[in-house]
Order: sequence, then structure tokens, then C-alpha cells
Amino acid sequence: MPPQTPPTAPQTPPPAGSVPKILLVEDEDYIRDLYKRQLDQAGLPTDAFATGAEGLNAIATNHYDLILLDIMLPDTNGLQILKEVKQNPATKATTVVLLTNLGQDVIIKEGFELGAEGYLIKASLTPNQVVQEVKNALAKKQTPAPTA
Amino acid sequence: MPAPKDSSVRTKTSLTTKTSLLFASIAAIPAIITTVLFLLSFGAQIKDSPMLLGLVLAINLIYISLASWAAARFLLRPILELYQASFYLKKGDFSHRLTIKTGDEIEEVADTFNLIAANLTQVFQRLNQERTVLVNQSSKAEAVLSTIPDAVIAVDLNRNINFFNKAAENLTGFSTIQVLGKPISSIFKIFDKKDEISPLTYCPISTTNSDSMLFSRENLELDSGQKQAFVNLTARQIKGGASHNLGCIMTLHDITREKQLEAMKMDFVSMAAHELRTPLTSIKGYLSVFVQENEHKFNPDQMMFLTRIGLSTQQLLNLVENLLNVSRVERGTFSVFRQPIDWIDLVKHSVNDLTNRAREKKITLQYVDSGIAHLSVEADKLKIVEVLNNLIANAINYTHSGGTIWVWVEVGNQEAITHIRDTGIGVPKQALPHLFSKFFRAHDKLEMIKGTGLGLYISKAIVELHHGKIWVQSEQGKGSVFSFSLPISNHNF
Repeated sequence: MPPQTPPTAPQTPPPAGSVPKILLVEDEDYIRDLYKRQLDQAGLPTDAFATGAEGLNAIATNHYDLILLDIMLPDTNGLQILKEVKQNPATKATTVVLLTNLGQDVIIKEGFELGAEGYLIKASLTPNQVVQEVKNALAKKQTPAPTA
Repeated sequence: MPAPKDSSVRTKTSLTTKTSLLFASIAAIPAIITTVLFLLSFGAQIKDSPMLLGLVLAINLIYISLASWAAARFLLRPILELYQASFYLKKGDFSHRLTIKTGDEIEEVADTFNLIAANLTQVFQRLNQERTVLVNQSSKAEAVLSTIPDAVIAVDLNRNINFFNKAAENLTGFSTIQVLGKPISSIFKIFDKKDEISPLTYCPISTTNSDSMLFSRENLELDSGQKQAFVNLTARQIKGGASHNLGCIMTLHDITREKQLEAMKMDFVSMAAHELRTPLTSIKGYLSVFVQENEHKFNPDQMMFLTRIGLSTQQLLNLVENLLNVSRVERGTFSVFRQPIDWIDLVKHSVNDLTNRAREKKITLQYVDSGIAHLSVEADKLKIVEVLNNLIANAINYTHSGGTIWVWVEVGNQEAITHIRDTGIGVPKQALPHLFSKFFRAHDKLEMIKGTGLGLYISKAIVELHHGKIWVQSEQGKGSVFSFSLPISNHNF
């Protein structure tokens, strides 16, 4: 399924103080369900999808504050989606955190070059630690670092 | 003092004057004889008329002067023209041509002058053309050499650098001016895996001018202190170069990027590891959430069951990682990509990360400040952290509750040495020589063992690929000190 064309109207971010919305793109069913469960429970409503195409579709129709993006997806390379998100002016402010597993240093480096804000190693973190990392990333966004 | 007269004018006058006087003196003799005869014949009348005498004398003088001067001028003019033409030649102006048509030897000399001038003009024209061609060829060669993506380096018979192209500058981080004339060994080192290769091997120069010697090897590591890269190196002795003091010419093809991509490539073991990780991550994740949400419902015995399931899962995960790394080390596809990193910072970080784990066992884990604030080493951050964590985790695992672990860094000869000391159970003497080999475990006390015995083997491989060393000092029952060295980087933070 070809990726959707970006939205024509620029997306307006939700009013300040509203609940942050998360997008999770992860093809492993058990992991995806578990992360969504924990994020929802932590007060971070999450839309979860198993393929890159569904993910892009969601991005085109909804606003997200943070995207958890698996790199190894069945239909596409996670970095491709990252690129599209970061190149589209309507979505490039969205925080993108890559979900990886060990032994992918070169991909991680490339991810940062493409604009990813961070990465999480699935095998090293418990789901609750993942939730904490997401909260940290969102907090960083609210209070941007002081300019040098 | 008045300015000297233009020498040409002065000379011209003197030559003309000299010749005039010569003619005058020659002409004077018949003039005087004629006058004397005239006087003898008509002397009586003239004796009475001194005015007539004076007139005769005056006429003679005027005639002699004018005639001599005119004769001199007539004879000398072509010669003086030659003289002037010589000035043009002296100045380097070969365009001037003489037009002397006296029909005598002077005309011939003038023609020769013109011929010489014409020849010289041609010669200079040809030389200019040849020079333009050479300059063009030289800039063409330069343009080509500076656009070649491979580094091209030429050395003289003493292996001092005498040519260094733009790509070589990029590869080594040194500029041409910095390296010209310096021995190649002072600019960079070449390694094949962890063994250094001497310039005598990779830059072949022999005194016998027979078949040019060739060195060609792939997957070598270049370390210039400023930069590291993986290269394919081809070197050849320059045939007939001895007469021009040219020894050997090398091409270095940078394969760092290709190697990085290669390292990522999924071979069977990598794919297997990935497949194994997935369900293990699920088990770990679901168990962790389940325990956290239901802790209060379980009695200690039930908790112990769940805890052990969790620990075993973690062991499996570690084992998968270690097996993958061992496979890579064996197959030679394990590479480290080094960059300057702040070592002190990193060590402190690792100690921090493992402090909780130590605390769980009531072990004191501390970083001992040796007064070094920042230290820059060339290392692959992710991999070297693995080594550090492995050594500290081992120390925690093999130390009883209440023990202490110290971590500190000292600076040696161009290297940073990191020590991890514990008050644990130590290593028995017979186990010491086998400690860093595969699958060797010093003790069989199951409740203490969390590692798989692979950690030290991989740590050794990583440290050696960093061109460092790893070693241990230990006494059974007293504790151990594990140490490893890393080369210091020139980079300043």
C-alpha cells in the first residue's frame, strides 16, 4: 500500500495542557499490545499499528505528540517513515523515538542523522521503563532546552 | 656631478671623431704639399699679401675638416646601425631587423644579425609552447590526483613522504604540508586485525631494481592518531624510481562505510539471535508487568518463583547476545568503529548505572577519583561500555554481601588503564591462564553464577580490537583486580 500523501492543511497542535497522544508502530503483536496497555494505563492514550502503511495513514489523519517507531517493519524500513515525518513541515515537530534491538548501531546513528530524538532497546527495558522514557521525552518537549 | 652622457652618444662621437682625425691627417699631407708647391710658385706674390696666405690656409683647413667628417660618416653609418641593433638583442627584443644595403661585408653582417634574431624568436616561441603544454599536463595530473577518491601516497627510498593527495589528507586528518618529508611511520600505523604491519612490509622497497615488488591486502585498519579507518591497501615499488629518489607508491581505498554496512548484514546467526530475542523480550516484559501489578498478592515463596523466572529469562537474553558476539569474533566480522570519547565520563556513568544492582547485594561500588577530570580515548562507545559493564557485573556477582568494589583510571604510556578491584572470592591459580577463553568458568557454585563464561572472551576480543590489553591479578579468597588499557586520543574535548 503506497504511503498516504501528507495532509494539505497544516495540523494545529492541541491546546496546551491537553493529554498527549502517542502513536506506536511495532509489528510484534505481544510487544505492541503490552506497550499500548502500559501507555494507556499511564494516561498516555496510544494508537497502535503493526505496519508502516497503517502508521503513515494514522499520521496523515491525526496529530501525535510522540511516535514510538520500530525499525524492522514487515512492509517498510522504519527509517523511511522517520524521514517522511521529519520532512513534512506539518509533522516534523513530532518527537520520534526509535524502537530497536541490540546490534543495530549503524541504523541508530543513521536515525539520529535523520532527526530521531532518541532510541530504546526493547530487550533491555521493561515495559514500565519504556513508559518512563516516553514521559521523559514528552517532558523535554514541553520545556525545551535553553538556547545556547 | 653631472650625469654621465649617454654612452652611445659619446662613443658614436668618439668613433666618428677618431676616423675623421685619421682621414684629416691622411688628407693633410697632400694638402700641405700642394700648398707648399703653390707657395713656391706664387710665393713671392703671396709673401707680400699675408691675407692671401691666410685665405689659402683657411680654405685648406675647412676643406680637410668637412671632407674627412663626411667620409667618416659615410663609411661608419652602417657599422653604427649594427651597434644600435645589438642593443635590441641585449634587451631580448628579437623583433628588430636591420636594413643595411651597402653591398659589402657590413651588409652580410647585418643579414647574419637578422638571421640570428629570427632564429632566437622561433626558439623562444617553441619553448613557450612546450612550457604551456607541460603546465597543462601538470595541472591535469594534479586535478586528476586530487579528485581520485582513493588516497595516493608516494614515498622516497627512505620511506619519507614526497607525495600526498587530497584524499590522503581526508583519510588521515593531516594536511600535505604537515607530512611532506616525514617518515610514513610517523603519520599512521597499519593493522591487520590486531597485529601491526610494519612499513617495511606494506611499502616494499628493495635495492635490486628487478621486478617491482607488490603488497596488496584488504580489511586493514589505518590509525593516524587523528582518525581511524578501514582500508584496502595496495602498494608497489616504483620501477626505475631510484634515480628520481622515488621509492614506493601506495593507494588506500577507504572501506569503513562498507564495513559498517557489512557488520550490520544479517547472517544466519544474527537472524537466529534476532528471532530468539523476540519471544524472550515478550516473556521478560509480560512477567515484569505481571509481578509489578500483583506483588501484593503473592507470598514470599511465590515471589521467589517469579523472581527466578525473570532472572533465567535475563540469563537467556544475555546468552543470546554473547553467542552472537562470539560467532562474530570467530568469523572475523566483529569490528569496532572507534571515535574519540570522554573516558572518565563514561566510567563514572557505568558505575552509576550498576550502583543499584550492587546495593541490592549490599555491596559498595564506588568510582575512585584519581585526579583526572577528562581523558580522551579512541573507542567504540557501545562496545567498550559492554566490556566495562561486564567486568563490573562480574565483580558484583563474585563478591559476597558486604564487600567492596573500586573502579579507577590511571594514565600510562599513551594509554588509559582502567582497574576494577573487588573483595570477592578471587580466581583459583589453575584457572588464571584460561580465564579469557571461551566457556570457561572458574567456579561451579550455581547460586553465585549469573554469567555464562563468555563475557571475558568477548571483552578480550573487544579490548584487543581497540589495540589495548586486558589482564587480571587475583588470589583465591582475597579478591581480584581486572584491568584493561585503551590508547589515548589526540582529540581535545
